[in-house]
Amino acid sequence: MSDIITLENITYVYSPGTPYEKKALDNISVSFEKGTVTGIIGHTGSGKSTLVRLLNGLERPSSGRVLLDGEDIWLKPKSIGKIRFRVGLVMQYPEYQLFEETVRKDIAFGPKNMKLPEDEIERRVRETAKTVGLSEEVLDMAPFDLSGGRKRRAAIAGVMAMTPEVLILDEPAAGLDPEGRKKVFDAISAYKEEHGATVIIVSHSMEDMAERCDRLCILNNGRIAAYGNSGDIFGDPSVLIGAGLDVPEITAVAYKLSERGLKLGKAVFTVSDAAEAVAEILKGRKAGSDGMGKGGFTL
Amino acid sequence: MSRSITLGQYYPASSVLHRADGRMKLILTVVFMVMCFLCKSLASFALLLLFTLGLVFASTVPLKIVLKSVRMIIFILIFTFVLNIFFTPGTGEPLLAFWIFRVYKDGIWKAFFMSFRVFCLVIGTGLLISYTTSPVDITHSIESLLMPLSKIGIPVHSFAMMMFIALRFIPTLSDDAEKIMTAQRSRGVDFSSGPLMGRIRSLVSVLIPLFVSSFRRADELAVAMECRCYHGGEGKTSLHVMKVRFSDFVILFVFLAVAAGTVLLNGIKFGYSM
Repeated sequence: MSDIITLENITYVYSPGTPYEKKALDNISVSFEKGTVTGIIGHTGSGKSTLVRLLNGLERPSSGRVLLDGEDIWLKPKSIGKIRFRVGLVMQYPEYQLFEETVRKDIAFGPKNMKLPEDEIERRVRETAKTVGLSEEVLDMAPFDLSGGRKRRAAIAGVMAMTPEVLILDEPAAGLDPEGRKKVFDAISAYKEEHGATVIIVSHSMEDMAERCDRLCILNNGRIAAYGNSGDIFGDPSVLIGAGLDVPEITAVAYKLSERGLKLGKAVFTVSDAAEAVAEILKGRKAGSDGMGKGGFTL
Repeated sequence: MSRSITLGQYYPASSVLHRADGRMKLILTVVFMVMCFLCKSLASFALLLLFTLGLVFASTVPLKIVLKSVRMIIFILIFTFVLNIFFTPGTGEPLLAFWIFRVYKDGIWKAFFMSFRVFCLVIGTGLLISYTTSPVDITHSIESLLMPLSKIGIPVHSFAMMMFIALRFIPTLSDDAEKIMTAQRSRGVDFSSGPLMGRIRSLVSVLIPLFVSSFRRADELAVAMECRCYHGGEGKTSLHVMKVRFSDFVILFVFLAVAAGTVLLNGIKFGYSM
């Protein structure tokens, strides 16, 4: 598969030349593959937000290049706005950006800025509303009258309606209840399926990331601590712990077990995964094979 | 990304002026203002200049930063200067005369003195208040000084609380505004170019969410205050109790001495006096 977005030796410095100078990103190089879901994880101040702002041209790197489909997005700084239609960014708590009288108008805001014809805008509004699971009557309500979860999805639809090839979401499920979270992630998957888009999700929640991401990129202090398939990354929690992150509790337990010699076969992220893996081992022992092995492991 | 927003011109340090009691500094500001207008002779202006420089030194605020505040009023200074030069009625032959303007020797002196006064006034009050007193301290001090007014039914505490909250929320709201602007820019809004009408319309997409968020924040704050049983100023004690110390009186004494000095020096006629 080909890469859609590539960061080349990106360094970003805030307020250069002042006492507040701060290096947010330090010589980062990373590529995002077309059609994948990549999770960016890092603790507060690790440079996550700066990274996503660089991807859609909200910030200009101090040095290095951002390539979209092999082309430097800052080649023509005047038309950087067009990049934002191709790389959609949903900010944290996007519901605070809703402002039109109706949800319909708000979703149409982005496409209207793209100067699309009326009927195309109308079509996109209806289509994205369906993608995020908002019904027709919701479209005619005032965004401020919606529940928190619906507001969030309406705001996400506002970005999706521009049909970006790359959809970036910063903490898309923060502050929502489990059902709201599920609906948001369902909407993201639906969008990815419909448009073959590349998705980049920034999050703290390891559980969400483990389940939904193909790739993971761990940021620590403005550098990439690890990048690879999510299975591999979670298989070695030492990297995550080193970056000051919490791994899912069950993964941490499995890691502790493997440190003491009990290999669960594969990395586990959920309790049911772990139960299966443990059952697998127990089955093996009953069958009279090595069982716990000669390691002399005792619980 | 939002940088740390410093409110006003407060310059954090721990000089004599920084440590002085806020209420005393407010009073000293009034003394200083009066002092500026008491100066009438070249000698007393020299003392005023010396004293102002002394304040700069005592505050440990770099001269460069202090002069920055002068740059903001440079227009007012020039205006004062020009107005006084041309419109001061003088005695004897005018030095220059054209159309309705007459320039006298007195006018030049007066223009010089007046602009110099404004110059010292800005630096002095700036040093006493803006540079060395944090906005929170200023509010505390004003509240404390106005407290006697609450005896006649003026809700001093409520006013002070309102000022506090306003100050407290300036950085928060500017943060909010920044976030909303980035979000709308991500949806293709262009705030910095394009036709004027379009740009004004695009501001609506920021103002409405900002309005909504400030109402939400106000609501949340009100609830949070109620939850902590806030009921106004009645019987409320302060975390930071302000105390006038001996050193504050020493500073007051210095100010009064210099003020007296300027009055005395007004008697020395040298060059020109008003």
